[in-house]
Amino acid sequence: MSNFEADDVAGGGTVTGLRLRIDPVACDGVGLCAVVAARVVVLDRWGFAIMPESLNRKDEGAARAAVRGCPRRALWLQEIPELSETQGRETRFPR
Amino acid sequence: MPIPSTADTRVPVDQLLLENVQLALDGPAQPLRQITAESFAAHQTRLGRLPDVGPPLFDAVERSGLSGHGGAYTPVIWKWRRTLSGSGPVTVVVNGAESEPVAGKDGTIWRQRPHLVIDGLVLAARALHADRVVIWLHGDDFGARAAITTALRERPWTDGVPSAEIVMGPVHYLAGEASAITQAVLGGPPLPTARRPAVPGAPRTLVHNVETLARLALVARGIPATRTRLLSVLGSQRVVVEVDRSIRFGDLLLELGWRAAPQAVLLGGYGGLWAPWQTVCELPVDERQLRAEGLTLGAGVVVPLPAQTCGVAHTAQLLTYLAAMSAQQCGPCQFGLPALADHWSALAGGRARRGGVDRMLSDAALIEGRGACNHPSGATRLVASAVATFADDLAEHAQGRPCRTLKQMTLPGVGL
Repeated sequence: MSNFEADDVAGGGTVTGLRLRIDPVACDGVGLCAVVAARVVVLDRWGFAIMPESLNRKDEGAARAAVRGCPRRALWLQEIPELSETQGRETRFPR
Repeated sequence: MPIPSTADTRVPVDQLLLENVQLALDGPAQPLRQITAESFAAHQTRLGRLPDVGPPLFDAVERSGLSGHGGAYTPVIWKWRRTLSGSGPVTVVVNGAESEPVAGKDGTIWRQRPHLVIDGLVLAARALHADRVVIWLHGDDFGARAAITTALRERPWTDGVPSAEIVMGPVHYLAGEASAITQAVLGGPPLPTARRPAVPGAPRTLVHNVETLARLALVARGIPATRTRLLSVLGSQRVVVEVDRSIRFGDLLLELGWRAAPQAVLLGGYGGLWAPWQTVCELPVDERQLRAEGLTLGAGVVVPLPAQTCGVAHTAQLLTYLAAMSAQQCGPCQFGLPALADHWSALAGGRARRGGVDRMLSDAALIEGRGACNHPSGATRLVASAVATFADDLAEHAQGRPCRTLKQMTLPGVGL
């Protein structure tokens, strides 16, 4: 289910200092983000958007398109001061 | 442990409660035997007048390490500094809506020592230059409202601090959720919100737990406030007790009259986590030491699971309750929690299908961390801990077998 493709990093794609964020209250599962940013956002089995752990530079444009296109204005881009904040986020259910 | 009478002035100065209590099994923290609240006069005789607010208070709060007592344990000084770094109008709220059905420590503090909490509230309001002061309660907590109203009438109010408004919130599991309170206090619906980028000049709302403010009243007077812990324990009765934080779970249950060892304990509440008895019985109830073991007591709820009952069946009941308590705002919670509840109900009922546990775990991974508030994460944490704690029973159920025993414990608020 991960949107982060390991060979992107190995192939030279750099991770940006941005993170795509969602307001899950605003999200209605319209799914436009998954269409305009298919490499960045996937939908869960109930139709709601799953945010990627990080953003590659080559995906930044698509992410911005998703932010602009969301009919519920549920998405925004957040500057993250330290990349290490998003990597290795603990989960009890390894994906 | 000794149970002092209400007139006992030998209650240690760093003890919050006048006495340990037995509560009604359901609903607000109403004691079975009426206890007279400590009067303002007695409070002042015991502790002296309210200290001043200034840099020494901030130093004392920082040095004491005083943290929150609603489950998140955020250091008070961090919350104060974050609030002071903003610029909009300030509302200080004391959160008296302890929504976990078993929890009763905050309602007990209100009914026994309201002036401790009000002292803490006034101190926080002055420290943060509050424009508004709110006391937030569950809509059905008339006992706390009465105790607070009486206490407020007994004491002169501090100049420069707005009068405290008592606000009765909804009667709901999420009524004590901090972002829901913040939204409600600012005029919106009492529902959780996501944290969006901060807007300069936006209203600032600081929410403190009842017990946190009671301990603040001690810390401000130079009295250390970390010796004890308040716990709400469910057995055949529901009790609130104040114990030394070094007491081990094994000794705690012995003192509370448990004759047989439980098989596991639910820590923190219905949205908390299970731990096997062998793991916890030698551990102290001290939060720091529990966290070193990957455990937490949250808001201090302890629910032992008796030996001859099924952890899988009880987890299914808890998940059904948590699913019903969803605010229905976020997809992963609104749809994911009922899916989890269905998975576990099928397992408990001997209706497991092949691959069912894997699908359940996959759903839990999808839900974790994807709500605006921590409600769905509480459910997924419960699931992860149940998988670890009841591994044998889960394996049996995964083969399609029903519970070995039909004996169940009564969980307040959870219909059978």
